[in-house]
Amino acid sequence: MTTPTPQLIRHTYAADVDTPAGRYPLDVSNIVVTLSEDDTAYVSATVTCAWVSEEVWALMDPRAGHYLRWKVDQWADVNATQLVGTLPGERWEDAGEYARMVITERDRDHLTRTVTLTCESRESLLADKIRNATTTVDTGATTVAALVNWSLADVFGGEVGPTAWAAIMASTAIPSGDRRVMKQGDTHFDLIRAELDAIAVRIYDLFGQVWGASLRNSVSGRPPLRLATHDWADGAPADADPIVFALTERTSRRDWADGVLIKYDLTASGGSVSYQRSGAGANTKGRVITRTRPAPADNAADALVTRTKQRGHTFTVTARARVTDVHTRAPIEILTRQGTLAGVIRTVRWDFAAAEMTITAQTGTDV
Amino acid sequence: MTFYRLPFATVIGRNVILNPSFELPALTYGWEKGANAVDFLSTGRLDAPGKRALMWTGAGDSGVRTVKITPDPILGLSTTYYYKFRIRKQYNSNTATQAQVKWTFYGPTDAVVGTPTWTTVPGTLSEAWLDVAGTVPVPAAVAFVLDIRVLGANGTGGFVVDDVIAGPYDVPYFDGDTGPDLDGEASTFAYWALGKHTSASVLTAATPDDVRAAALDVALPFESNRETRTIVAQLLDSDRTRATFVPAGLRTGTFLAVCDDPADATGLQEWFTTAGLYAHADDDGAAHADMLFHPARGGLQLQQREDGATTLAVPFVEVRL
Repeated sequence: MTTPTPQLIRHTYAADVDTPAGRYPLDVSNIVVTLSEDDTAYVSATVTCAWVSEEVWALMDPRAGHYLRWKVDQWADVNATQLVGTLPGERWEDAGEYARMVITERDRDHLTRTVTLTCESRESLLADKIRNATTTVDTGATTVAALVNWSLADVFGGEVGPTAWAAIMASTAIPSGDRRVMKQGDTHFDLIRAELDAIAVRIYDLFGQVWGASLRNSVSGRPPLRLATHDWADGAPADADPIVFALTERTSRRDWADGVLIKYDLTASGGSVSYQRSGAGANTKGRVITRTRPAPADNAADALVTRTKQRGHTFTVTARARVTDVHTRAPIEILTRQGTLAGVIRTVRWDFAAAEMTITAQTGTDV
Repeated sequence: MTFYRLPFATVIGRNVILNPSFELPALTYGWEKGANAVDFLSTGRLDAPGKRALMWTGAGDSGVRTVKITPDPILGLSTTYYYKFRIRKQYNSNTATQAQVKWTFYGPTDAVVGTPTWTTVPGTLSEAWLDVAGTVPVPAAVAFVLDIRVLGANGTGGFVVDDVIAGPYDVPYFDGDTGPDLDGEASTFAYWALGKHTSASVLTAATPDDVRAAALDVALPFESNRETRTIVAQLLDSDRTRATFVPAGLRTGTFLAVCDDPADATGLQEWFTTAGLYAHADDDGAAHADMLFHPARGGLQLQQREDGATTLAVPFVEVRL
């Protein structure tokens, strides 16, 4: 259920560098957070802060493996006493807790004396870790869920996903053989991607708090987020939040395809080449994708083309920042005085210094 | 117009009591008078630091006089704060035998916190100050009420209070009479410096030699600006708005100093190039411009005028500790 935000809000911010030796608070001047359903790192954030000491700067080294924690509280009054919501928000299990993310870049400007940290949620570490050894390793996983858990445990030292995601992934059994074997040169991302693609599942590191998984083509079962371009006094429904101040639409041929061919090329490791193609028929815009992993059981090409075909046109909404009920794969309705524009959220970007958020959404089955 | 400079690294914090030495000649900046008998002493009538103090007068057992102080900022509920002030008999014409003072502290719900008790001020204190100090009971936050009563059936006269400080720092407090002060000798102790008599009160570990005053021949009015930063979004299809509150910035602007001797202005220009925390403190009528500040990015523009005076413009950004 949509909870409209009040007419006046205020944000407060906190961020620190999280190291085994302690946490070092930062004087934040901006936090920009992006959620993207289609990027490897589901959450990315850019935190701008005041100058830090050389010691803290050293701790921010992205190669040092330390984390950045941040959180934003949204309040309904100027004195910050009535909490509206927080980011990371209510969707996640530890509402009110800090996001904990991998630092991927640090920048500092010696002239303006500002420090900018770019960070990502931890899926990106799955793509980082590569198998160097010449010997293969058999994961022993018999299901996709077990395969993903094996990767998580290997990368994050014993961590596994929630039991719930076995229900999303376990239907596909993996036989012994290449599909569950990690070879030299494979990343963990390679290992699990083909299997996840074939069953149209993606996994998420939700703000470093909990692992999640979802069917990529599904739409969240929650009631739609309803944002309006006009005020309640102008006739917007009571459950719509009148915070929209820009709305544009676009349709692109660019990431759309009605035919996909996936080439599974194992020749580098002494195997053969196999293909999966999306359903028969004449295609007007095709795409070829190469993978160096064995083909999964389900047809990943079909899953991919289904997803791109599902996407109709894209609309972009700019609205005042709102942290409650806003997340990807959620249905969204933009209420204008002319009618309602409905879609599914693909990306969300909050820019708290500007106090606004930009949502891109795609309309449902319009091919 | 007087400027002070403190090495920034030595600054510990600030006094949460504004106008703590009553140099602004009114009960402003969080002070409210509860009885008519509260008045100010003016220049020369008291051997006190600064020019003014707060005075209670009465005759006989004149009842309780009250003044209320609202700290700025409101105190944190979980932090221990300490308070100190000084009291003595009014100079001359005071035959009251003694007085009693009492702090009462109020918490967020306006309830009295702790158990207020009276402190007796002996009537022999005609030459020396009595320091009254203690710990603010937690969670006192929103107001202090200072009560005073003059005792002695046949006495008349008053008692004066000065140099009220409160902060989360339990440090020795020195004044001009008993220890290091602005123009006193060096000290390794923390002490309330330069703001003791102004509303720009800061606590610093600096030695007094680190605090320098630059007295100017002439002072002109200054200009200041506070940036309001609240973001107002216009709805796409409505004449109504949504606001995101962002606290306003502190004052920025320009101090304009006028010197008769160009060398003074040049020296001042050089002086402001040193890194540190600066304060403007004034008891000659420009107290509205009292503040802590940094010389801001911009120019220390020196201009020699046709009338012989030399002006120096000092761009500032106010600092709050």
